[in-house]
Amino acid sequence: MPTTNDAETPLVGQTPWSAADPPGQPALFNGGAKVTPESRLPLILLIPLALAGLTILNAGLTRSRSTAHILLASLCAFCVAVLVCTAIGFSLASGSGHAIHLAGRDWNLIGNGRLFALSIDSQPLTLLLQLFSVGFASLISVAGGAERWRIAAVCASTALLAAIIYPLFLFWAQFGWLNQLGFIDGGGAASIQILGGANALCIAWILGPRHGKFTPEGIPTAMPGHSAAFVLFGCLLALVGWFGWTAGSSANGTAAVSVLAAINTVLAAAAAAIAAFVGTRVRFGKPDASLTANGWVAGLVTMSAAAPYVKPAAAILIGFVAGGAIVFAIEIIELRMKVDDPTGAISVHAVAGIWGIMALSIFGNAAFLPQLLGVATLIGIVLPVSYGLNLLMNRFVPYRVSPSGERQGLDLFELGAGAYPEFVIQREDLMRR
Amino acid sequence: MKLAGFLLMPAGFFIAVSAVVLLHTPPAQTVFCLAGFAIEIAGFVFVAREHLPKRSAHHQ
Repeated sequence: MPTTNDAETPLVGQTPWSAADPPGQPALFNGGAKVTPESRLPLILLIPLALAGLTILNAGLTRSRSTAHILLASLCAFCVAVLVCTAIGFSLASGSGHAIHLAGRDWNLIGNGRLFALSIDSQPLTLLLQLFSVGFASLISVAGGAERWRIAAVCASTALLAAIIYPLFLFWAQFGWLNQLGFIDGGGAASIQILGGANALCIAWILGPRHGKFTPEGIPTAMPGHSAAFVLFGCLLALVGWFGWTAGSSANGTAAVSVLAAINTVLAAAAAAIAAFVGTRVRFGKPDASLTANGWVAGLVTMSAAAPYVKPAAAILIGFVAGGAIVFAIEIIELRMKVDDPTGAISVHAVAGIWGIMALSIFGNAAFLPQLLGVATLIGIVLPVSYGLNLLMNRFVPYRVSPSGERQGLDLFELGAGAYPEFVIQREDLMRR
Repeated sequence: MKLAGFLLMPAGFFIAVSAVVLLHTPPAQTVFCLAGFAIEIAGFVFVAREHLPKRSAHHQ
C-alpha cells in the first residue's frame, strides 16, 4: 500500500525525509515522469489477475472432491470482502483519523472516514486498491481452511476481516502511528500478505486438521493436490497481477520507479522458484512442482514490501532466501506445529511477508526498528484479535463441516455437485485395505 | 496456557512500543524492542503448543 511518512521528528534514530527525497522515493532511481492516477490505474486493474491466479493455485493444491467448493468460497469471500470494505472498512482506514496524545506526540489510531465510502471523492484510487487488497487477504484465509470450512462461515469470517482487522492495521501502517514511526510497506506485504497469513493460521487452528491428516501418533499423511497444472498456471497468472501492487502502488514515485519495481518483482519470483526447485531436489531427491510454485509466490510476496526500494541484485537475493526458506517453513508448520495448511498459505504469505518487511531494512532504506515494530504489531495484536473474533464467530456460525460431509467432499455436501462429474473420485474409505 | 500465550503476545508488543516511545538512545530502544519481540514469540509458542493434536492412547 502507498505509504506517506510525515515530517515530524522520528523516534527511532533515523533521519527525517527531506523534500528532495520524499517518502517512498528510493534514492537510487530518481527522475522520470511523475506517477499520476491515470498511469497507476492500468497497473492496479491488473490485480484481479493475482486474485484469479491465487484461486486457481489453491484449487490445484486441494483434492478434487472440494475443488468447486474452494472456487466458490473464494468468489464469495471476495464479494463479501469488497462489499464490507466499501460499507465499513474504508471509513476506518481513511480520513484524518482519531488520535490520542501520548508522550508528547499525537498517535493516529483509527480512521474517521464516512461510512459506505461517501468520502470517496478525494480517494477513488485508494478505495479501488483497498478493495482488491482486502479481497486478496480473504483468499489467503480461504486457502488456510480449505476442504473443511463451510461457505457461510467463510463469508462471516471475511466480513470480520474486511470490517475490522484489515482496515485497522492498514490505517496504522499507512497513516497512523506505525507510519509515523517510519514503518514502510511498499505494496502491502504486511497489510495483505502477513495479515492474511496470520488470519489463515487462526482459521486453521480453530478448524483443526482435516480428517485423516494426522495419524493417532501425530504423523502427517500426504494429501497431494489434484492438479499440478492449476498450481503452475495459477502462479504465472499471479505474477501479472502482482505488478499492480509492486509497480502500481507507489503514489510518490516516478515512472522509472514503477519499472524498477516490476523488474524486481520478476527477478525475486524467478530466484525464489529456482531456490525452491533446487531445495526440493536436494532434500527429497526430486523437485516438487507445488513447492516450486509456492516458492515463486513467496518471491512475489517479498517484493510486495521491497520492490520499489531495492536494487535488482538485492531483489534476487531476497527472492532466493524466500524460496529456500519456504521449503523449510512448510515442513516446520506441518511437522512441528502440526497445523494442517493444505495450500501452504501460512508459510508462503506470512513467513515470506515477514522476510520481505525485514529485508527492506537490510537492503533498502527502511530502519530496522520500525519494520520490527510492524511485524510485532501483526503478531502481538492482529493475530490475537483475529483469533478471538473468529473464535467468537464460530459460536454463532459453526466453522467446520460435519465429518460425514468432509468424507463425502465439500462439493457434493455443500454444493450438491462435484467439479468433475465425469470422473470417478477416489475415496480412502472405499479402498480395500 | 493458551490464554497465557495470548496475553503474552500483546504484552510483548506493548513492551516493544514502550521502548520506542520512552527510551531515546538507539541501543536501548533496540534491546528492549527485541526483548518485547522475544516475549511475543514466547507467547506464540505457548499458543502453538496448545493447538498440537492430542495423541491417542496406545491401543493394544
